[in-house]
Amino acid sequence: MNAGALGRRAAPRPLPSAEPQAPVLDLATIYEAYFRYVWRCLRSLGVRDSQLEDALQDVFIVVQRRLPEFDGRAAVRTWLYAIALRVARKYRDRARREPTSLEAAREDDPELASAHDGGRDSELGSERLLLARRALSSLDDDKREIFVLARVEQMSAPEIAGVLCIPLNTVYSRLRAARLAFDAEVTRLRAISRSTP
Amino acid sequence: MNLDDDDDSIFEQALRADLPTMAQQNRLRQRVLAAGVAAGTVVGTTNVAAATQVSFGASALSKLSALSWPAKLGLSAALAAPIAGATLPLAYAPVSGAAIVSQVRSSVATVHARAASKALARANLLLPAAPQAGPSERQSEPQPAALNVAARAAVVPVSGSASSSAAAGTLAAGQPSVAAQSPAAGQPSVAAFDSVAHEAAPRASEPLRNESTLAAETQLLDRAFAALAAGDRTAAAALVAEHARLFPNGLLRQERERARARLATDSKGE
Repeated sequence: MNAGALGRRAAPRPLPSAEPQAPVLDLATIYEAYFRYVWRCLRSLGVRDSQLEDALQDVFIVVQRRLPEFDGRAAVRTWLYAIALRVARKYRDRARREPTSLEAAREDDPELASAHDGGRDSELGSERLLLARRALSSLDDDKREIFVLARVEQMSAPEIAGVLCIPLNTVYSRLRAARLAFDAEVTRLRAISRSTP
Repeated sequence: MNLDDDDDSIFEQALRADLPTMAQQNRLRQRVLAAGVAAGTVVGTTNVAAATQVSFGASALSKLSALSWPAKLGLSAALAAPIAGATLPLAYAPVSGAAIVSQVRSSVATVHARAASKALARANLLLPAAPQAGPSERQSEPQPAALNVAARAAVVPVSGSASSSAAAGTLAAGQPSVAAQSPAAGQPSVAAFDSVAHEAAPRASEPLRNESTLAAETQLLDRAFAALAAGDRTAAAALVAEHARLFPNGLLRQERERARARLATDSKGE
């Protein structure tokens, strides 16, 4: 992975199928078009499953409040992710302050959640997703955010720079580090799973 | 072992495919719509929260109650009508708005019929007494004629005042809010949503009666906050006191306490 790889991603590529063609200024339309992607983004950013709906609602409350100020210079999707990112930070911080509980421990560890609750991941039979989520949760917040925006939500480097308010070069270098860390964790987890009968 | 690009994409694709299931999507819509009932048909926060508890768990209740009241009204009003109506081009099979309304209202009616009746009795008994309040209150705060008019109640919280209308979220400059648009303009409105709800659940009379309670509470507190913003502490205090007298256990009592706290803060500042 290098900056060139990210540069290639910056080229036009298919966005989520619900990406509207016309400017969207209607809250209900924005909600219907994007709430699944915002949900995914929040989940990938570390919001606990039990708080996902609350966080999603928070995002759209902010959207509702800020919609009159939205000038359309940025894509709606970018704007939404910028809001989601900040909401997710708030929820992560809150979760860290809360006393730990069994439920919280399960949610913080996707494998525990899956094993004990017969959770969504195991329902889908998605070992890859389970492993990817575990690897994701091992990243620190900065790396996790940039990895999610770039590799999961497929935002371009300039978009990410705008959302995170960091220089473009920092986007490249931080993403490189994030991918290295993610790959290393995936490798470690796969090795463990292969060695386990 | 280093993963090649294919391995990378496999795991990243797994993360990208991690979207909510159709059941989860429907539940999210139900939750929004349940909140929408609070503004669209003005069932009342308590009853909505009860339905929320039944359907979505206690976290949704705490969330709903934690929202500021303009947010409760605005977000739900803006989202409820288009989701309930058929004007939104959905790429997947949506849950029937009328069916959800029916489900929510059934839960509300079943769980809180008794509470709603009590609230209604209290509202109907106390509201006529309002004009009998002290002369100063009567002069400064004439009682709105719409307090007991259930049919208008759905519109009052959203479009009845400048502040609540602004909080409800004007979607774009120069454009009316979703909640304020009229059915004649071809757009779903809160009132239109209410009519859909009536068709779906014509027997839900208790929530309808609560409309007057929430509408009256909203109007009182809306004016109280407006008076606070204008620096008229006397009028604000009178309105807060009136709300406390009329609705001691009202749906917006938390907002009332917030107004009281602001009054106390302001008085200390002076």
